[in-house]
Amino acid sequence: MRLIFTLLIILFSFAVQASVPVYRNLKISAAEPELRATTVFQDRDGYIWIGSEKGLYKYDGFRFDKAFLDSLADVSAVNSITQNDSGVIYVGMSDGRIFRKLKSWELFPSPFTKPVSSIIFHSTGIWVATYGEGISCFTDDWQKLKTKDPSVYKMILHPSGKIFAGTDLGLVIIETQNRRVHELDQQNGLPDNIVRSVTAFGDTAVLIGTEEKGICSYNINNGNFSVPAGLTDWGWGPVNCFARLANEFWIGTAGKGIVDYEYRGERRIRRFSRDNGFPFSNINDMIHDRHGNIWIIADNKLLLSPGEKTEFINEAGAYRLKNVSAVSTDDKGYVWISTGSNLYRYNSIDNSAKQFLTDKRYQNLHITTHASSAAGLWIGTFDNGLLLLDTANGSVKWFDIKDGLPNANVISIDVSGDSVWLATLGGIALVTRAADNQFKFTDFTKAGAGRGFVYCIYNDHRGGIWFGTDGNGLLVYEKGNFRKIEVPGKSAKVIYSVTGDRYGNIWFSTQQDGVYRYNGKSLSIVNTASGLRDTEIAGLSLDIGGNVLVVHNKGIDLIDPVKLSIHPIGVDAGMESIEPALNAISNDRFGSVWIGTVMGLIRFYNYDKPDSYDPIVHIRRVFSLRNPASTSKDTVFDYDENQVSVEYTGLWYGNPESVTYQYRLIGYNSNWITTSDRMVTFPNLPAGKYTFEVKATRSNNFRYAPSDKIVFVVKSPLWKKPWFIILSLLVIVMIVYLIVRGRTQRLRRMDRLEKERITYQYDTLRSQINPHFLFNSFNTLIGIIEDNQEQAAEFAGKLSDYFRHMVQYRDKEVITLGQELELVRTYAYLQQQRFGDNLIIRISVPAEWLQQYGVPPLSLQLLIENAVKHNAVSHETPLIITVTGSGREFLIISNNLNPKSNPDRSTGIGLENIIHRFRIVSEHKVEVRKSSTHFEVELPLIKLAAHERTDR
Amino acid sequence: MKPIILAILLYFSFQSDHAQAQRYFIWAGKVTFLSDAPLEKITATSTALKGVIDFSARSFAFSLPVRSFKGFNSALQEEHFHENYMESEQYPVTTFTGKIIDEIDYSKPGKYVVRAKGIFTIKGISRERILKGTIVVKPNGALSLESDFTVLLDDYSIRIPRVVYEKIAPEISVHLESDMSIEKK
Repeated sequence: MRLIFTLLIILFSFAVQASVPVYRNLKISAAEPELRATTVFQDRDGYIWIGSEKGLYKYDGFRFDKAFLDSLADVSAVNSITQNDSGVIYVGMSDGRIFRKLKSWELFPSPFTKPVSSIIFHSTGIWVATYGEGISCFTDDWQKLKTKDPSVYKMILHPSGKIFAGTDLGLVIIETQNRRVHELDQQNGLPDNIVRSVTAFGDTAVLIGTEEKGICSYNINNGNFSVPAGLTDWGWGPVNCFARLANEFWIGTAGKGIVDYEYRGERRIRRFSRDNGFPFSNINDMIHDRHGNIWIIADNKLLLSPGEKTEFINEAGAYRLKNVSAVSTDDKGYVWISTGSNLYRYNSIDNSAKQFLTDKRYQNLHITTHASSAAGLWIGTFDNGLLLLDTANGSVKWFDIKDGLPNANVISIDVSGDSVWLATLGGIALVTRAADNQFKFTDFTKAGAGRGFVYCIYNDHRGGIWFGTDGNGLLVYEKGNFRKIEVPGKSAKVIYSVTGDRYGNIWFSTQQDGVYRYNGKSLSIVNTASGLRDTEIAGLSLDIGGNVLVVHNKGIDLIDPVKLSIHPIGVDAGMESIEPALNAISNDRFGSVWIGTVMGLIRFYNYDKPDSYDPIVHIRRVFSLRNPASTSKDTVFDYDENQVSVEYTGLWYGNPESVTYQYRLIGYNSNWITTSDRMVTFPNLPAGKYTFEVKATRSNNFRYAPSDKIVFVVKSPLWKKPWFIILSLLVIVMIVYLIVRGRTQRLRRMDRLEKERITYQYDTLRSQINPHFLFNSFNTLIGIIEDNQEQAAEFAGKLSDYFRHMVQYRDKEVITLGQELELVRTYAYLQQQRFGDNLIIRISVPAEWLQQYGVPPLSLQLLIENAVKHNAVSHETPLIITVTGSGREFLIISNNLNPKSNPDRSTGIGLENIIHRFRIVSEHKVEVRKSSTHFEVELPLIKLAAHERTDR
Repeated sequence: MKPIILAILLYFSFQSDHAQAQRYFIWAGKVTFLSDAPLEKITATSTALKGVIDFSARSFAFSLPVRSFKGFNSALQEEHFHENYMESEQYPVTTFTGKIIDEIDYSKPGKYVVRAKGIFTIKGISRERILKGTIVVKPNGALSLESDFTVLLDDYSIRIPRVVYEKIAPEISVHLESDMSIEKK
């Protein structure tokens, strides 16, 4: 019953395109949907570069990044893209310019004005071919080579070290070391002079695409040109480009689509053109990337195809191939297909089929399996036993239980030489050819194989025949005995498929548990936890790349037989709900695996080795959110840039979304974290050194996944750095020292000032109560009282004013010039009462100075008093004192000298005191000038702040 | 138009003027074009093709005055041809100059198919074309040239009004035949 579900599903889930490769049309720019692509290139990091008529784009599977600044190069089309040994991308434009990307894009000076066809980097220089200006080589300067024709379509560096170029007048061969040029044309056997395309074909050959005669290969060793078998009558127009797959070429033409030529094996030719549903005619460029995808520029659009690994066939000649229940291949290259009761022999070279068993007798047969042998095709059926079809004449031998068959339901057949092993729903049997040419059946049901259901047979060709049974697990027949391989678990007793790998391991699929690898001693399991997409497995096989092939409804999972890593082949190869029939799987002699499904036949041709299935993982950049513009791999961050993001990618163009990632940040958290995001942000990283490591895989198994890592540093904040701490401490000590010193000095100064003021006050006070002054004043007063009482009262009033002001001002540091002059005038009045006209005091100071400037109190008064004190004042020798404002904000007090014969006793500190006081309050010095006739003191005025002026 | 032809001829007269230089001249080649539209066939012929082929230098130049086409279905058609489509006043000559792709031994009598790649200029618009011609070397050493090719009107931005779609073919067939002489005139 379990069989029925796989055999009889009638569901239609996806449209199959016969003989047209699966491809996707990629939109390069949303802003410019009509952008015309011109060329495509894969760099060493795996990124795809697309040149267009308006700029260059870089693609990672998710987005196209425009690489050129608009102003730089957009005016002309990109014609060729190359990368040098140190990874610098060079771009040749259609106007002859060459650009390259160092830190940013820049012009690489060149003398060309015609399209740059190819750029080659070689130890002998940079070789540039142009369409119209020939071939030049750059070492120190550009040197043009002499060739017959200047129109070069394409130039390549061949593994042999020679350069090959295609021109309108033949093939140009350059020996790079001595720059010797050989030119070959029709005279030398070249089928067509116009060589539009060249590509290396192994170490000794070059493949050439021509204008009219299709392709040919040139053998470097013997100089012969040869046209591949089957391509002598080329009718598909000019050849533009090639993509080389493991055993086939895709030839891109100008106008007739793609020609797929299998140069090994069947030498089959197929065409993908407008005639058969491939909606493009002009193939501008084509490359084969590292994962086996083909990138095609077709009618200036970008296409991505997984290549021809998978081919869906639902029509063969006049026959529709549906509900394929069994598939086998024979040594002539035919594929035998049965769909229920119909049996076809399918020829994949011309996609034709021939039906067998057309007789009425076979109409109700349900064919379950078949296998080709020298005697003919062995056919197993449900309920109707075994048939042997003579494929040459169509005659059939029919075997049943009465012939010795243990059961009439034959599920699987294995042919090796003359031995035919049969798996039936009633045990195992062996058919051999006896001496009399009759077939002899050996029933193994009693020989240890049991009477249970047997689903599959695998002959390891090392003496072991393996059987998958229902309930009895895995059996092996060796040296005449059956042995059971113990498999833990209940569902492992039901085994649907068995196969073997190149290392001698046996692989078998169970009902639900997944796939086991048995190395003769122990078992390893591959299941959903390891990344297997489906455990309802329809068949197992081995492809020519060496992968174990697991066929299920979601497509094919390829298992690396050593690492057990899984490469899923699904939507990206056009496979989704393929609904394969149980064990309808067969490998042909050319390495193709043929799979029967509800929708028809799948041909799977995989030459890629297991390790080529890893995505290419790259850390694109590390950046801080604070400075997201930085695109380089800047890896040192300031303490405040500790919001660090890492952007990475796993390049897998077929199905970029299928890549999952695992990352960890050593130094922060060493656990691996699984994600499908391509960016991670770590907020608030403490200062330190971190290693970010990322792995990418397409299955969920990260064990052998490729990885990339980057180290970055978050710097300590300034104040945590030792040098900063030491420096800061020094600065603090210094400041404290300065403050202390400043304070001490200020205290000392204030102390001195205080002392001086006290001295001064004492001095003034003493002078105020100068007995001479008082005595003289009173004498004057007495004199006046008698003559003029009114004047006496005024005099007494002034005297009182004088003393009051003196008391009022003496404690102040500075008073306004006006206040001081008022005091001086009072003093002058008092003295003039005594001396009359013999004492002349003239004051001429600008009126605005009175408020603007100030002086230490009593300083002027003291000077005038000194003048009066030290000079004789008489009618003959009048004393003239002038107080004048000097233009440079000085006050000049000057008097004529007429010294007294018996001067008053002077303390001598009056003038000294004034000088000291000015030194404290003013930056200018008090100047004292003494000549034989005059004594002059120059006082610097102190500029007053606004609030001090009104202060009276 | 005369200065252009003169320039081409002069160019070839001075270029590679060594003893082996093998230049063949066409002084009055015949060119016929055919527009085969569903409703009308238009054909016209010129016998004013001038040209020079230098086999040793593998180069050639042809020049044809557009006004020299005769034999239209009507005078009005001829006028349309010159004024609406070819703009013959402004672009009086059609030229094709370039290089010969295939090498032939013109000293051996026989029929040779030769491809020529060059710049085909009509109405001042230049396109790179590869055209095929048959060169017949007669036993007496005389050479003749014959060629058939097509010209897409779209390539030279010759727009056909919608009303005359049925009367003018988008692809014009051209037939050329001429003797070539070694003498300069």
